[in-house]
Amino acid sequence: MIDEKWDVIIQEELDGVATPSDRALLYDRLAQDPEIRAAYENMQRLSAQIREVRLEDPPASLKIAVLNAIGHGAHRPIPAPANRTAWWAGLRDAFVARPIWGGAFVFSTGIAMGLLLFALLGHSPTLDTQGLTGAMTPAERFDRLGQKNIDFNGVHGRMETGLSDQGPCLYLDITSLQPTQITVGFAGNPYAFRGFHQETPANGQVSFDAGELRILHRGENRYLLTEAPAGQNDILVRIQVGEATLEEHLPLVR
Amino acid sequence: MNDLDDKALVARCLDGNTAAFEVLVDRYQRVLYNVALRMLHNREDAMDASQTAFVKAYEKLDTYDPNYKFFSWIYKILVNESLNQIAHRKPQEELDSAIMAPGRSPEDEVGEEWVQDRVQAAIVKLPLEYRRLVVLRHFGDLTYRDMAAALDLPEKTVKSRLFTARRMLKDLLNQRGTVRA
Repeated sequence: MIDEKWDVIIQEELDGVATPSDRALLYDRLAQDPEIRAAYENMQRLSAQIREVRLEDPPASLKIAVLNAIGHGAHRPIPAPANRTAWWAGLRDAFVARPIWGGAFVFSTGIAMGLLLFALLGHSPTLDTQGLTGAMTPAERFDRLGQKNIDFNGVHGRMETGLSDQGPCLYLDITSLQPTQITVGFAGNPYAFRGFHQETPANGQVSFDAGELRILHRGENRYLLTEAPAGQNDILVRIQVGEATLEEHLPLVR
Repeated sequence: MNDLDDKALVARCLDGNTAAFEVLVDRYQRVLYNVALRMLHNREDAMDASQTAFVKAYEKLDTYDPNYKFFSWIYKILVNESLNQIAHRKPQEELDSAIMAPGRSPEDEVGEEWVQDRVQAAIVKLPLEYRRLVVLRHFGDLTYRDMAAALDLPEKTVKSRLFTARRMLKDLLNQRGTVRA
């Protein structure tokens, strides 16, 4: 145990605030006293170890949330079209003027909704889409297997694969100010995930097509795909913004 | 605008230019988030505390005294916000190990990452009044003087508590075999 006076000088030196006279005294003593030298090296190692603790990048949503909160216009969520009310008003007026248009509109909308439901559910009979209601059920246990930060062309966030209590799963945290096409798929094993959830359904239009999950994303959202089948070693996530594409294979096994 | 100093950016914000605040967010979000993360040991809480600190800073910008550094001032808000969050937690939540790398196998229990996890876990075990000093010094890179301003403590107290904190940290790591005695 060294005298506290030396401990103070050692720490001041490592913080870069030791006076020139204390520094000279310390280096003189270091050359002579193995106990003080050991204490110095020990404290130096501790400082280095703390310095090496990795700094994490904050979630991309932090900046956007702050700027939204202070009302910084450029970072508000994508607004609804300004003339939406006028458009609906125009349509309503047209239906009032020509009632047959209303019937045709209701009929064609029904057909379109039916086709959409068929596309969503018919192509993927094993997929649990209850999460589309927004009832995100995050895994209680999540051991991360792979991770990729996303930061390109105005799209920010993170993709993570891991083992949850429901088996291998994929989380996508995406924030973007412009519409972004995201596709997720396995080579040779389409519709492999059994569960899909999203936190804010309004921000992601989802379809299952050609062996892939496709999300037309905008704003901020979190997606979760659960229960990949056994035997899949990795998953390919592709994020497309305009012509630019980010592709990443993430592991599903340790 | 990126090359303006903090005080000039604050002046622009006060003139109603919110883009100037975006530069301040860019400048400090990483370090503030990491300070909060080491204080709170939980990513969601760190995100909440950082967000609240930025928003409160913006709302109270007219009370900022330019004689002090902007980052000492915003750290003070962040530290208070983190303390509020800790005060509202249940006691057992504080020792959460959520930010340690998950799924570590015995093979991983060597090397750099293992040491980093041990150091992080030891920092969390420090009593709060000591932990915040280690965090501000080593993750916020604040000087004794800046820490004193951020924590409303005399510089002497900051120094002596920081030194004590490091000794405690060293002891904790010695118990765990990370730093040789």
